[in-house]
Amino acid sequence: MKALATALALAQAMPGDEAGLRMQMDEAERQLRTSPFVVADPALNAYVGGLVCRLAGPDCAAIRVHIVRTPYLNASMAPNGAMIVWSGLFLRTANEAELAAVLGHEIAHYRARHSLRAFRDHRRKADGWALLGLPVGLVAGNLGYSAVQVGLAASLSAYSREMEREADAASIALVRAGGYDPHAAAAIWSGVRAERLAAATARGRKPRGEGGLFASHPPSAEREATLTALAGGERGRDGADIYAAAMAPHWRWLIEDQLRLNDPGGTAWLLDRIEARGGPPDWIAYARGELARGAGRLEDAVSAYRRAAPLPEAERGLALTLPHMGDRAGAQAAIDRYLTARPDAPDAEMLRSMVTP
Amino acid sequence: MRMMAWVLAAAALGGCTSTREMTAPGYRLPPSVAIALPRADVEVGRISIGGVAQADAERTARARAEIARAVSVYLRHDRVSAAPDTPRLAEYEALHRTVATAIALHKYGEVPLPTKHGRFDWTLGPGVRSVIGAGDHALFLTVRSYESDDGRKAMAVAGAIGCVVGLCLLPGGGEHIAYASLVDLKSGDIVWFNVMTGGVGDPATPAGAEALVAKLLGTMRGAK
Repeated sequence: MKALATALALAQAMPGDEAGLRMQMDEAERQLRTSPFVVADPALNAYVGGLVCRLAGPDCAAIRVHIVRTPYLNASMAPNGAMIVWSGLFLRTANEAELAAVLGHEIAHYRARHSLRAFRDHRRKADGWALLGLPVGLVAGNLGYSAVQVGLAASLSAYSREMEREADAASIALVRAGGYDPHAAAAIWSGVRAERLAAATARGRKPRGEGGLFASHPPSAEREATLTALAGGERGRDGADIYAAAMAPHWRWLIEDQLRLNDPGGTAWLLDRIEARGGPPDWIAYARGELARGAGRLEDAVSAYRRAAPLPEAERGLALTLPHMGDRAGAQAAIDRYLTARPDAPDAEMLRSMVTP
Repeated sequence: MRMMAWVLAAAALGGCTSTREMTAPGYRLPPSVAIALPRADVEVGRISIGGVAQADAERTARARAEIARAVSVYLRHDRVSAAPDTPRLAEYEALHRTVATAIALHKYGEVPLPTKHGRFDWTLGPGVRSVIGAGDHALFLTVRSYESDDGRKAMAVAGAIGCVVGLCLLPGGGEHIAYASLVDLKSGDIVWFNVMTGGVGDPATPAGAEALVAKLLGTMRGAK
């Protein structure tokens, strides 16, 4: 241990690391500003940005939210104040309280300057281990040297998990201060676990294990348990109505992006949950039609599409399903209805060519 | 991951300072051509003894200015003008990094593509015109210059001594790579290209930037 301390002390201090990290993120943000993957919708940006401001208080001015069109649950925070929110989050948070819990977690990372601390931890340990590597290698050979490197990786991951736990704890305080239900944070992780199980089960597998020596985050079950304990007996508002109103104009692309993941088990589970929480019946029915068609369950697909009937996308689904059931006339009629509603559809020519000989 | 790509590209092109010119066959810079110079894509920093790369904001800003000045002098002031830093330029900086890395790796590097044999047909696409504005050509520059700090240099010496006693632990040196692409603004095609690996001095200093530019653009016929 003494050798380690000496090695750490010998590792050179490098000033300017924070400015360097900020510069790298400023460069990344230059690209984000015009990226087609960033959601431009002013109302959605105002909604998420406004929520960040209410939670962050005085730090609001320093934080810029970028909603990136990626259909997985994630958000991240850079040391220069750029917060990146993936659009898949919106399908997985049920209400404003849950969204606030995720945003609060990122605000906590920003306040505690976790990116900078992670970088410094990495540099300090890597430099210290580099100095130790030579004597260790001389005494214990290449195996000893490799063991040192594994130890370094494990130690960095342990530090990262510690910061995630800190941010989780701080997020509960922010959610509570905002008047939201503090149990919302734990609800996200129970959802994550159930979705992973559903996704794996549909593929005939077990969900991939979480945790271990090299995980950057604590396992979902641990986060759920800790967050539940931190929330205590207190309840608060969930903001479900405001959240539903903010998401209403966006179901189409959120669900289309999710369907493109080709994750039938996870998607079916998500649809059930969104439905139970009063989600949009037409888009849910359409998405179930798409899943059924993908699985070759043609009759289920047709009946789901019919339930989603006012949606042009459901007509498209019928147009792609009915020919396989021998109903070319029905398919032609569906194509006509789809193209009347969406004359600029990118797949218009493909659909026409499918039916007209 | 991004650093990995640089390291791979640098490794594929060899360790010591070297440049390889890759030109569309027969290209020669016309004498009275207007060259737009977009903001150079530069990152300068140091690598610590444990191999952690740390960017240096202040030296990066200086290197970007020095490189632009050196290019302007090298290509003669009258035909070079700075392109405005429009919001969409960042996309083209990223596109140029990707295309330049692909050229270096798949045309001249370790992973040649048979479909590129005997031809040089890389392009940034005609959309580049709307981003750069005026000019016949645009010169895109990407420079990554990470040098070893003193601790890492000392470690290299210690590692070399270690080799004598049978335990070779040699840390890598600095990571230096620079790409230059001359782009025809009518078509977006890359008409001339060069890559340089290895350092020729500190690009944040006037002398270092001049040396880098002279080496990088030195093979462009009609440039001087």
